[in-house]
Amino acid sequence: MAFLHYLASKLGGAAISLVMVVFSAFFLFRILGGDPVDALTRDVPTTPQERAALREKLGLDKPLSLQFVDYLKGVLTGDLGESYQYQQSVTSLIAERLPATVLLTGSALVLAASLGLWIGARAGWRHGSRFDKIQVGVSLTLWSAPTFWLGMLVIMVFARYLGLFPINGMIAPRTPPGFWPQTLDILHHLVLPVLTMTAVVYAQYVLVMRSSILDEMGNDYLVTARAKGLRDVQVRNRHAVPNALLPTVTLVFLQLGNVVGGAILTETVFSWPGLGLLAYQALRIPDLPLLQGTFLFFSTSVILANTAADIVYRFLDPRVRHA
Amino acid sequence: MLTATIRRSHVMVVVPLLAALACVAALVAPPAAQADEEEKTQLVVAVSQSVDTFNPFMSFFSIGYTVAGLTYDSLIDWSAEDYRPIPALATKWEESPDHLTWTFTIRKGVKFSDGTPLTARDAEFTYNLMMTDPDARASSSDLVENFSSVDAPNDTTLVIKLKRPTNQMLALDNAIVPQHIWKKYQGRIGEFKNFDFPLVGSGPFQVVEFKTDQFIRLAANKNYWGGPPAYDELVFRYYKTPDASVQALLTGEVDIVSGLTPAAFKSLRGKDGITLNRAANRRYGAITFNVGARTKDGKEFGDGHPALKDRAVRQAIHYAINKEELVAKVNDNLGQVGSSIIPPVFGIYHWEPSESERVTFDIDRANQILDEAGYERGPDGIRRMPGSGRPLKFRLLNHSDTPTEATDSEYLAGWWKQIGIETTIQSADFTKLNDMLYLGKFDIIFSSWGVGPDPTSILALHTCGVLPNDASGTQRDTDTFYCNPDYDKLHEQQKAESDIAKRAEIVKEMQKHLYVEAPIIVLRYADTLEAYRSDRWRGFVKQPAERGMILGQQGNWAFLSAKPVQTEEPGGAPIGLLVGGGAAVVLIAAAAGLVVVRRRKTADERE
Repeated sequence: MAFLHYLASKLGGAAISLVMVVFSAFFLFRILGGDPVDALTRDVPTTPQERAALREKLGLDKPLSLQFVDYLKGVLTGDLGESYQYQQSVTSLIAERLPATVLLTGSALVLAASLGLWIGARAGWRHGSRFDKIQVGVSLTLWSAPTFWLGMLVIMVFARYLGLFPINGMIAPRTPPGFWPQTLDILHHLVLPVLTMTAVVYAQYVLVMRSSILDEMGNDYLVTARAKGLRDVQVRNRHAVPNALLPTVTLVFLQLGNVVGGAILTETVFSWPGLGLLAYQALRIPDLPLLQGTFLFFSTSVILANTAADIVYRFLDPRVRHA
Repeated sequence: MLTATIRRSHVMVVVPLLAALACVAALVAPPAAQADEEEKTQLVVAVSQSVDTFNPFMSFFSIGYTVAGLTYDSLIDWSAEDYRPIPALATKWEESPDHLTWTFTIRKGVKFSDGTPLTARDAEFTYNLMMTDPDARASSSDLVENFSSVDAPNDTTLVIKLKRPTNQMLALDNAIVPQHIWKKYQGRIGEFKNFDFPLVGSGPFQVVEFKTDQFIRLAANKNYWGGPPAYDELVFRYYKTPDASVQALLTGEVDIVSGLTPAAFKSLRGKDGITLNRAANRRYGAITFNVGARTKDGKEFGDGHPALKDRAVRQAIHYAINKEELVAKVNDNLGQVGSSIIPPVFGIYHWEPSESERVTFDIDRANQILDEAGYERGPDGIRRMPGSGRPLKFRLLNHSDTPTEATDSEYLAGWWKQIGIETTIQSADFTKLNDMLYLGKFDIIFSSWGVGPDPTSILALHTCGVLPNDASGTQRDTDTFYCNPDYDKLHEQQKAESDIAKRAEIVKEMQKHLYVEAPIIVLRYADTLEAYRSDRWRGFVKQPAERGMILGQQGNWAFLSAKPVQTEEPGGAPIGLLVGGGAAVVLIAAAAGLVVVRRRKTADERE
């Protein structure tokens, strides 16, 4: 019963957030100002008639209230409108770009979490040691480095000087058709963006895991474990780490929400054709339906991931359940 | 408990791996039927602009025009030499004495890439489509609204009858599409994105593969009537950041890069196998004045400074600009001093002031003009308007996304201070700045336009006809709210004149008018900076002949004339692929190995 109550309150909260997101998605990008018709016709000399026709086609000649009603109707029926610059429905654009983003951010998330937790546990266990100082220093430095700059650096070293990887994109136009050559080429293109993204985000896992381990250090059950004659490594891996993992669950789930949101910066530096790059392209016009669509999609996934984290956490940690 | 942990860690490894595989599988295209493994010569061009559609009637972006121009032919081309209209599908044309009937002779023996012959019927079909379908006419409504009929009496003759005489008949660069394919889409042109590859056209290259924001691959048309290209494929490859495209040029991933920053351009100087091209651009950079924002009915709006309605103030400001210094300091000398709104690349129409007409940097002269016009200096050194006594304090608005304009602004404010004008520099991004422009809420603003080979649309920016109907700021067609009957009269004349030499006289007269009246002051023509792999490619024909550009042409001259340098295999890419792909495999194997080792360890501990 208590659980149902808990579930209802979490889901209710999520629903309220969703409604707020739906409203702000429409108004937020209109407050920014700017005229899509200007941006779309920036390159090409156009006559007043052509511009008026374009304005009508995009629905920008309607009053704002009508545009909002159209938008609400669309959202409720799952139609996010048509992108100005791609002349294609926003939902199909998001569906097309989703796999690329999940591949990139998903791989980076798995790598960053494993690496970060592994380092964090060891650094925390021997806090103050040289390993601790160096690892925490390195991860924090990478965390503070601008993604754009780090990405260019990675390109310079691994693509240009060592010539090991392609500069950007997801697939080369020269790659022959067929499953294996294409797959291999995508993986080949994947390495540098994943490397960059992992380098930037793994520090959060290091820090959370490290402090979490530190919290466990003084606990009696560790003394008991040692008293049983377990080796130090066993005490850490079998007793301290499982307990310390709990706080990181929240972090992992928060990051899961970001998997679809992608990494706008990483995708832009590497021209990785995912949702982040799509959002960046939309912002440049401003391509209002696409901006609204991507914003809705990102926000929704973060809200869902957060709600999921709350619920899963309750199952993982009995203390929350009884509290 | 222990087994549970092991199973969970097992799941945690397998699930992401499966997810990754699913993503890759979703991304890999279904294998194409053909499998010709022969290495093709590809000319790879770096681009950044997204493609909306390959429907030549619907595209907004210049990349769309470029691709349409390669896939399809038009009746008339713009010459590589000097942007003069020259025969393409039409071998010759005749204008009737009353200027209302134009007869085009269509080239014989032209075939579409699927082997179907191209005839005058296809041109008739295309122009009728534009006349009848509101979507198909969208980007050229001005042109076809003036057509009363388009007919093909036989396979080699096309007759266009007009309502009013116009020289736009010499600018028929519209793509002629194959009737046998496009007739299926009549009535729903607006929804047709033309994504059925390979595209069918009569041009030198047809799109065969397209991956949004990744690349566009075009195959050479070996039967092209102008002679087949000297290589197999033309590829536009996406680099969303300019720095990445420079790196790609250095590694050889791409062959041509355009739109380089002066810094990137300099960094490429002296690199082996790379040739730089500093070309004159089709774009001008200017400042424009709020000469009095008003509607067509003459209702004034906005908050522009009234002194800028006075020609004398604008002329004085013109004298207080050192354009040479701007080009030297801001553009690293990679540009030319500006004079009129039609850049010098369009040699036929460009007007250059004579020595006596030229406004040169002269602070004394500027001060003298303002003194004579009655603008006295106040105690603070700022001049006041005669009558109202309002001080000459102007807002100068620049684009925050164009950093050079911020530097320009500092220079301008410094010079104008010497003539008793105080300048407040404001910065806004492109869209915000346009909002303020069309609401008339500015004094002086930076303005930059790319100009096409036909001068009508750029000249129209300063006519009374483009003033807005109301003060809402939604009609965005004027550039300065300038309106002068003399100028408009010349504009109407030039629109109807089909004799190029006579038209050029009128067009030059109009540029001179703007130069003297100064609603706009053209500061410069910044060069367009390009670089290409000359160790692999040669023979690019530039447009125009003198200081011409390779990319951004009006026509396919560079792509048609490019020739590969060497005959041996390029080789670089496959080796890189093997090494890199190998590295990826090793990484994955190592990760898997780690998991196995760890599992074994736990198993040991269990005993």
